[in-house]
Amino acid sequence: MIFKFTITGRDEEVVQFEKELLDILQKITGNQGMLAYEIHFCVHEAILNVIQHTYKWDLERPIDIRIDAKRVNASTQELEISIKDYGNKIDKEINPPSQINLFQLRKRGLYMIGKIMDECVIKPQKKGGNITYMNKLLINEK
Amino acid sequence: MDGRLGIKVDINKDKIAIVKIAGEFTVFYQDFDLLYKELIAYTKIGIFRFILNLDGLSYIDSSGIGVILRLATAASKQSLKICVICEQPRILKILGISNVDKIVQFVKDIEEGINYYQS
Repeated sequence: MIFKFTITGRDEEVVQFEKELLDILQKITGNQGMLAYEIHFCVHEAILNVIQHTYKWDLERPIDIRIDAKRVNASTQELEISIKDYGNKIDKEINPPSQINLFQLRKRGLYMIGKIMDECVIKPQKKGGNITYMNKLLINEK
Repeated sequence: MDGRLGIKVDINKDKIAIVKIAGEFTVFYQDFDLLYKELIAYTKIGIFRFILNLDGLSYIDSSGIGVILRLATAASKQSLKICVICEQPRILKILGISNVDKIVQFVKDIEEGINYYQS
């Protein structure tokens, strides 16, 4: 299953997208406690990161979101999420920090994504812009 | 995100700020800046003891976590901790993932928070 969205940073678009996102994630993850909410949180943080740091609160600029859920075997799915922006490309790839100071503010969102998802990386694109890529294996233990 | 952000602050006689935050604690709401400035203003007039009631929250992101961290940092410089009331599993999970649970004092209600500061 592949889902594609293009939104801007305007409140109403983010709100509408995040409602649909939660719906999709709940269907994909099934009855796995808070997993849908945790992944939803990661997508929210990645979008907030783009709006805040790449677009500097220019709420009219586009953000492409792609969600791909692939079945690996009978009990496992792989969820891949890509969030593409069209801002200035970053100098080099950014990975979530593995540790942060208890009172540190910067990079806390990325740190949290790193704790929830199996993989997360922000990659600059050759032609400009960046992609935030995240993935997670969803194992149904039933 | 579909719940507004609301705040109610009472300062008690012992200069403890009792803060109830409800709705979605995220920078995406216009009221976020006002809330942030109001809470930080208390630290500037010498109030560092906070009891944050987060039970009315339906959502929190890193921007909301950032406000809690700033209050916790200001309190820490006075060798204090801020108190947090929260029994919502989803909010508790986020506080845990962000490590905020390591720097705040969880209390079950306002009375326990007041007792914590008076002990």
